[in-house]
Amino acid sequence: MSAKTEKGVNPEVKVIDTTRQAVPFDTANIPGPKMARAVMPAVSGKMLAKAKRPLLIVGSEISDPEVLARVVSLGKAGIQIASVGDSYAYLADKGLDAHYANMHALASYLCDPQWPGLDGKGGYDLVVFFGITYYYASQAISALKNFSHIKVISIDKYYHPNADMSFGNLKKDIFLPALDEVIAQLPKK
Amino acid sequence: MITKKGSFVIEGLENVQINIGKVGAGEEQIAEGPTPRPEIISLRSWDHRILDRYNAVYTPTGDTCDMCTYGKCDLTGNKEGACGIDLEGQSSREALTTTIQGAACHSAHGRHLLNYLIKKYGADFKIDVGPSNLQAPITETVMGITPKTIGDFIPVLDYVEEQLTQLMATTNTGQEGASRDFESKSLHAGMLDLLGMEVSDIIQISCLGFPKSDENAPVIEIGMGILDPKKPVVVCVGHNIAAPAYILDNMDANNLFDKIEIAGLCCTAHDMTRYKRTAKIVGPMTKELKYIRSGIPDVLVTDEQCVRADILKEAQKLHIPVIATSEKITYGLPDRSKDNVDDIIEDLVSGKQAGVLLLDFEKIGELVPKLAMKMGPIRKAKGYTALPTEEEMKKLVSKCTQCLQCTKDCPESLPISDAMVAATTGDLTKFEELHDKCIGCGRCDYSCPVKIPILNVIEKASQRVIWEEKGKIRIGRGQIGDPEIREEGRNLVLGTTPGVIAFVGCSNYPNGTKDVYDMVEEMIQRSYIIITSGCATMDIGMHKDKDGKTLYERYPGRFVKGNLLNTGSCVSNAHIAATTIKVASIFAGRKTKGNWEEIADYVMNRVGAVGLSWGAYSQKAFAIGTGCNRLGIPVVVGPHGTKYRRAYIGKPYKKETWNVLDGRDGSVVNVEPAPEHMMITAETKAEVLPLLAKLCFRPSDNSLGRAIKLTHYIELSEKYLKKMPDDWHIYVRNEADLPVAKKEQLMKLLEERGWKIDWEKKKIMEGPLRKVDVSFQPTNVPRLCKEVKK
Amino acid sequence: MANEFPFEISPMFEGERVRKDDMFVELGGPKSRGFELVKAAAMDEIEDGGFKLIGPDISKMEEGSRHPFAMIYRVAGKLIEPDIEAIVERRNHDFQNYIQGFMHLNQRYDVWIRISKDAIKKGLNSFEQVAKATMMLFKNELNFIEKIDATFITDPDEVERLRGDAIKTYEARDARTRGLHDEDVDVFYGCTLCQSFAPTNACVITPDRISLCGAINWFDGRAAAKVDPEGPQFAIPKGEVIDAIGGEYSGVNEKAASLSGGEYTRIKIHSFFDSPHTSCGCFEVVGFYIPEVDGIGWVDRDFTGIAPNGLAFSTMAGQTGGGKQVVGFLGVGVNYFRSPKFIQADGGWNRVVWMPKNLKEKIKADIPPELVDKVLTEENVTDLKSLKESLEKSQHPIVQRWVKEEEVPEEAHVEASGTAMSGSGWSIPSMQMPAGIPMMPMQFSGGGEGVKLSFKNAKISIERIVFKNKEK
Repeated sequence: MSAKTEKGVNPEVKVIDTTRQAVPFDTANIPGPKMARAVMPAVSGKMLAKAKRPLLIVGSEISDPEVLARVVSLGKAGIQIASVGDSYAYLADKGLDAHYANMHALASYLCDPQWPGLDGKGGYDLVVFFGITYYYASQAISALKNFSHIKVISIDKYYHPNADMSFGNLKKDIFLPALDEVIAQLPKK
Repeated sequence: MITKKGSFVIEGLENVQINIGKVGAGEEQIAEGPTPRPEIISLRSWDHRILDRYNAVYTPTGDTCDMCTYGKCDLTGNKEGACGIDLEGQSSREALTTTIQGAACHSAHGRHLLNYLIKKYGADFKIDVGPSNLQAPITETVMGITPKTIGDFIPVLDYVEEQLTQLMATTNTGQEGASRDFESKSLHAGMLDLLGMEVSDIIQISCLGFPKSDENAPVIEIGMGILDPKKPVVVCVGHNIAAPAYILDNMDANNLFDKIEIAGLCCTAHDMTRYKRTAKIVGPMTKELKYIRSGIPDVLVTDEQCVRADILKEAQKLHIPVIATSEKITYGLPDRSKDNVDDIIEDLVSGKQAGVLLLDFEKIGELVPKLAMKMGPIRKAKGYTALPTEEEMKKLVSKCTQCLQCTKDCPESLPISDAMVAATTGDLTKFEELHDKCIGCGRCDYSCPVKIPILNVIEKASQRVIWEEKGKIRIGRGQIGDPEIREEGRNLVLGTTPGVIAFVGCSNYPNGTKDVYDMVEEMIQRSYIIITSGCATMDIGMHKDKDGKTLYERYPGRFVKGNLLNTGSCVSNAHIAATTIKVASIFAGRKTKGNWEEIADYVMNRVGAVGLSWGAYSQKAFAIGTGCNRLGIPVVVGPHGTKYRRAYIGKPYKKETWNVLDGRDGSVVNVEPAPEHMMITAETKAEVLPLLAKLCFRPSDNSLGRAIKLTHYIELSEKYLKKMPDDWHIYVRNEADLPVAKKEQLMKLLEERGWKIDWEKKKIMEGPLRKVDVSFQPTNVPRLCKEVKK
Repeated sequence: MANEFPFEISPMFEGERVRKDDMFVELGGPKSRGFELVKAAAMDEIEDGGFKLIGPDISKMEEGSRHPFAMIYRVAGKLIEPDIEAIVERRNHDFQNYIQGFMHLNQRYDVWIRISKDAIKKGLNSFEQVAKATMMLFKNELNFIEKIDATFITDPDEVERLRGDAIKTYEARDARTRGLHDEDVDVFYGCTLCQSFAPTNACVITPDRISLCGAINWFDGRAAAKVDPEGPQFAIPKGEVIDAIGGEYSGVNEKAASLSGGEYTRIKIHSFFDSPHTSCGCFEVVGFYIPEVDGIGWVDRDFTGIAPNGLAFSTMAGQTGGGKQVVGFLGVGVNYFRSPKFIQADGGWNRVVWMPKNLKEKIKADIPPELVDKVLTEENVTDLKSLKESLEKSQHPIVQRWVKEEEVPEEAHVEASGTAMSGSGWSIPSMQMPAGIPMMPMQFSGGGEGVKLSFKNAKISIERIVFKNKEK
């Protein structure tokens, strides 16, 4: 159930506006002058589609079956997954290109241009993430923000000020359709 | 030069001037290593060795710096600010400041105790920590002396204080510019922290009759539900036993333990029970605000460290008089140390004063019980409590608009509105679940736009579970004695003990207290030795198995496989680090005095120990972890640990950082990444368990040990992450390293990786990084190699 | 990873206890009879992995019942010999405990086994499963086993019938162990397992000297060396006998330097004073020289009191160990007291003057009967003076060693910073001997009496003076 914010859109279809409530989810998590641009799902989706070697990072909050289903869709669309926390336990038998990683170590390695990547095939040009404990993800990606050139996009239901792009704070009934719209931008496999 | 012994006779002395320095009795204090009393620079090369392998990784909490009036400076993207420092530098500077704060806390606590104990017992009072050849391992290793009396610690704290002042100076604007050397200074501060803690605990163990390496220290009750609220209740909050000891002595002398309930919150509680078993423990600092709001305490005594800044305000609302007993926390209260006890009591009972600062221990001891006996009946009659009535609660929960502001203000992002909604239907279970995960910070009270006093609602709704909150812990035993370590040597060598895991630190857990209980239970069944301290000890003791038994009742407290030890309060953490020094001394005969680098090098390469501070929140916890890192002990912190801004993370893919030297001939050996990290965080309990097993690997493992350690690493990963670890094969050096129960399957997997297996001889022919050689002497320090030595 | 058995196999189940209420069946044990035995056999006698059951299987047993039980394994391989049997047999206990829900206690004819109800629920229904798992573990760890089969017996008559022979086998083995001495073999075994913690320590394991930790005897060493000759347990050919009493052999000395990383070059296996065998740190007992009586005292790890020399176990233990040859203190395992060659280089039991009562009770059977009452404990004496008097009174053999002491002049101890080490072979502890112990009556060459010095226009700076009481 997705809608594009272009001309000629069906007026009955709900517009998923993910740019509202673009304030840090943890009230005092204001890092500095540079904070993520709040974007619509199609924008994130297109960035993901364009990326040559994207990495999706998911964490322990993907146990919810509805969220998990979207992870699987993204994985099946061919995106490599870094599975942090205990999220691998939910992805183990799904036939995805998923690798366990420790989030903190991963953030460190992503800042290292010499890191051969999770599969040994080289670095990544885009990091997309969701489903990680909010403050944990926010801290970890502050390393990427300040010490790397990798673009980081949050497609989580929280506003992540340290990402380059993020949704605002979303309720679940907006979050799931937003994810679907992101997925819809990806070339079919 | 050959030194010969013998005797000679001096026949004549003509125009000889003999100057004598010090005259005294006792053993020579000869340093055995190159760095007694290290200055900031003395161990820098060791620090750089650690940093070269375990890169400092920065995760800033903010991209700006506002330390000086040039600022605020925007350092986003690692820009430089007005003074020339970049974000890396600023982050490492902040980490240094944090470490100094922690070290200062423990050392100042030690200094206060030392001054007081010397005044009371005399500088010649002998140190006694139990059966131990190295009575003060950290002191020996850092200072190069063997302290025998408490007075011998005076120069130790002088040294610590001098170093901390020097270090603090380097955090001023316009000092160090390289993050690498800020880190070295951090490591130095961490080491000073260990030293300050050791002094603090040794002197109180020696003078105040605390258990001395006692594996049979008794098991006692703890929890919000163990006190009888019908009696007057005294609660002591903080870390410093000096004042509470007087109160306990007074109660003892006047047979008041039946009449007054006296308990502690946070580490004071540990030390009170080590002093007198009749004292009780309410719980860790997460219970502070909750317990005060319940209205149960009739007198609050504060000393220092981890005490809420709003205690006076909260206590005042409930007519609980506050007695501040340390100059470190005075709350603006009048200093009445010179006044008459009865006069003070009158002013407090009448409400004329909300609290007093009292620095005279004798008076504190006399005043508090008397005050409690007066306040108790008055307050019980009034039934003061911050908690709403059932009626009020019904109204309050229905006001919730589910705006989620409280969740956004909550450090754990707890789903409070879900619990509110459920409660409107009379279902309190969600609140009960929340109660364990709620760390009692009170931030939610400021967030609700419709002014629901959220913490009070959570507590009221959880009354049922609170009254059942009765756990058990073992009283803090202090050090680990030599005989225990010696006996355990065999298990450590044969691998029957796969490692030592320390569960320490504060209670800022991402998902409630049961996590630490579950983790301890899993690892203790696998025969790891578990050592606890501080708030972690308490949380671990709050949960029970299906037979109603806590872990401290199920498992004995000896330093032996599958046992659960409690060293005591936060300063007792020093003994955990000290145990690794003892291992180096006992088993390898390494000289310790003034020999930090060699000892730390030994520990890092050989002693399979790891610390876990799942709920670390304070500067002190960070300092302890950093100190352990300088000693070569890796530390894992919970997810909030990313807010410490700095971790030490190894890069397994950078093979050149995993070289060691073989001490026998100085040759370079490339080893498997063990331990893989020095300081790292993890998101959930499930992720931590295999990580702990992995961080117990060491390059010097023999095959028996490696096989057992690998078994647990693989099993834990399969159990909790549903996969075999991606890097298990890196830790296989030969077929004897393979877990015996899965040998064939594993060899097949290795073959699939391209390793060459001789199936007839069941040997691995090709594939491992290196061979096993038990006689291999791994070291990171060139001067410790035999060739270079000569 | 796939698991072919209906139970988990892991060292984490080693300490698992099956309580009476949780047990499905009990086998052997104090209320029944049983035994476990490993026998060497010829290659063609055995079908590898074969299993035979005589009597009812698990699936036919009633819940809560108790049965006699025997396990007989036969092993074959090029390197297998009867001496290996006991080594393999001891592992049955360890391996079967790895099986979840299966508890194995004791050994030999005392075996006591319980299978838990949970294990049955998870699918354990036949002894064949247990036997196959155990045999897999045997072969995985002990690669000299080329073929192995197992016969489990739950038929009471059959168990009885074979039990007597099994006991005879155990007795013959024990007799062989007792009767085997250092001079009967050409090869000793070295063990360097604990070098992961104690880099310069190596145990030389002989028929008359078991490893310090007690885990490895000569037969164990032999078996382990077969499994992996390049591993941490390996053969040390004796070579020439240099000193039969002290236990010094050329082959051992050759290895000493490489084993210890150059720390020492000679080992007298049964000596206290001269090139003693080193210890890591886990020794149960520390011996200490008492110069006042020219005797040796012993203190065990569990003794919390003070020895007559004024020191506690931990302090004295700290003087030795760490893989260093130290004269004056020696760490040993309790089992070394049982050796017929116990410190025979220095007079054996005739040199032993004091030990704590609990230790003495433990090893009473190994003290020569005529000395049992003459070895003193903390109940008899607690200081050196009364020690000397009591030894004299009871005419302990040590008395014969005493000679009239000459006045030894008080010696000045001027130590530069750093430690004084003498030449190769042995070193004097650089720790200060505590008050009450004068220098040991050893002869040193050079720098003796007769040298006279004259100071003129000298300025002597003494940084520090330390006073020591001559009397304790």
